[in-house]
Amino acid sequence: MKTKTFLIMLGILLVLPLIQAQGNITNLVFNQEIPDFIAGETVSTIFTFNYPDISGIYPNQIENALLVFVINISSNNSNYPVWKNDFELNGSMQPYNYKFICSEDDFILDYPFGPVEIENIPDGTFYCTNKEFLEMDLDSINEVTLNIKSNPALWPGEYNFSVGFFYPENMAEKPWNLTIYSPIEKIYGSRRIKFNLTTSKEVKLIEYKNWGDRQPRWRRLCRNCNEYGFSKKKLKSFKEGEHNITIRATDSFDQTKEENILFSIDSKKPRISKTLPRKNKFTNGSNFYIKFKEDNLNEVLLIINETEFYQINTSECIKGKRYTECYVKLNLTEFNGQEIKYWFNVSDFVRSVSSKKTKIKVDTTPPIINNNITKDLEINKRRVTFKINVTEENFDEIRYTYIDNKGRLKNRRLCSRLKEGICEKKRTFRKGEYNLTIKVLDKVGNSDEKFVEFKVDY
Amino acid sequence: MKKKITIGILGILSIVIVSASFIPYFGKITGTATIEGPVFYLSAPEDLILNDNSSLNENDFNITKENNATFITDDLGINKFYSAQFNNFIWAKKNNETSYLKIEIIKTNGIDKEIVCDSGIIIIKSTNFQKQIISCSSNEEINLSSKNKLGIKISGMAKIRVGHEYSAGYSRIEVSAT
Repeated sequence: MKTKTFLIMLGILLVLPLIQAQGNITNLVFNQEIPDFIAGETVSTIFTFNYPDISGIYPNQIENALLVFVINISSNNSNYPVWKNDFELNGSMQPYNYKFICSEDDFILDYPFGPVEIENIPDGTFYCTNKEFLEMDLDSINEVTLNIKSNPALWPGEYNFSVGFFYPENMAEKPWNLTIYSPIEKIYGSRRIKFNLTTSKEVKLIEYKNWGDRQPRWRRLCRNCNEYGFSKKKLKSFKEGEHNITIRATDSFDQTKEENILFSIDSKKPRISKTLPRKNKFTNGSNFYIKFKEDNLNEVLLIINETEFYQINTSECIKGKRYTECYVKLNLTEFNGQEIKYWFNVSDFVRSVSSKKTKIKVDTTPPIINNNITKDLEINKRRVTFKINVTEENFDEIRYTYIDNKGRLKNRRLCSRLKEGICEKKRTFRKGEYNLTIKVLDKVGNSDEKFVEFKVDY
Repeated sequence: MKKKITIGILGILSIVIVSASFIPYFGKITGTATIEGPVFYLSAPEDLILNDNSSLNENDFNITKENNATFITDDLGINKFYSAQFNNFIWAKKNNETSYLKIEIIKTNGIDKEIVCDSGIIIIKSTNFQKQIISCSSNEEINLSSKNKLGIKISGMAKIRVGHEYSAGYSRIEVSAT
């Protein structure tokens, strides 16, 4: 067993320096300051880097290294950012005299281990590769000459240059993505929105932008992380209404993944302030009423006895500044004579609110006047006796109306009670001819009416 | 013995795989540079050369009421210029009398021309060429179509010299941001 272990360790120690095709970049420095220059002219700067193998040894040559340079140029004046085509870059590397081509546009590196797609390159960033060979031999000290040419109309001022390196084989091995579990496209009932998202590798920055803000800007969620709100609940506050946000993750190579999410917030539940008919009152189906407040109305239901559901046509409701009122008519013939329970249910797109369950009585049968009133009138001088025979279980009153000799409408109550179905009352009239309308009403408002003519001649 | 060798090789191969997935150090350096506005050199026959004074053609131009001179750039490959100040350094003289020079910075597609800004200066009587500094400002961004070039038209009454290096430099236009 000891012999086996010894052989394995020996193998590792002997072969490790030979198989190591990539190492650590060390002593990465500009040999000279980047010179100040005139817009439109080309200047060169030189930087060097040491490239020891993984064990820190500087061999004379490392073969087939895969490196990509990332050059980023930014202006110190935020009013004049660097755009595409503001600069042109190329370069070369010694001692093996590789030529670099630098691109601002998306491109694919077709490596033997698989293609690496460089995409979403931000303005001012260049990816420089030895496109001819892709693989490069490196020495312990490597000197890169970078040629920089600017657009002649570039804003005069101070510019920052950064040079970075990455190994594309790592990108090929580790394609990454951004997964957003929350928020999602829906209507939320709370202004506190849960953020829950992950990336498949650790990224430099995760941030979001709310496009509805007065001045939209990127807001940091986390740095050097691979999740936000996944291991620990994270909430963000938003205003009522619709929101359009973008969540963006940026890795250490400035590769970005972003997702756009639309969602709405409706944190205010519907409020019902009044319903009719009231408890123990009567209905014939025509006097249902609801008054409520809800800005994002979905539907209004009227429910009878937990079995009948009527969807109210809300387009016929009256929308005020603060409240909405709906008048509802139903055919309740099948419930005539019964006691029913009703309530309203008002929904927005998040939740529903119900009114109290209210017991009421249904009466869809109108009163009936059974006799000929004119024939049964008794007129004694100026006193007229009315006798009206009525059939009505839920009798309310009998009224009469006429127009007097001065042209005024008179509306008088005749009876508020019946004695064995009969209303008998005396009334005094001035001399003249009368056309009366006699109306019998029940407690719902159903009615029957007859016309009566008589003459007082005393 | 063969078995031992096999075990050793397997051990080595497993390290190859680990090494290939090793995440390397990501190196980064930064620096800054100041970029100044471009310089256009006047050159014979009637050229404006961007930034390069190594191969200018020298010549004198006799500017009169009848004769003016217009110097035009090559295609600059740009579609706009920031709001710019044009500092025009022109070597000029007038032997017998005090006179004047007028310059116009123009953009042209070869047929039409549009004045970007203009200015003038009095030329004091002199037998030697003197450096005249005539400045004008566009006051706004200068939009250029793909065929537009920049130019300088010099008119008035004087002799001017281009492409000749004096201790104070050549006849040229220095551009800066306003």
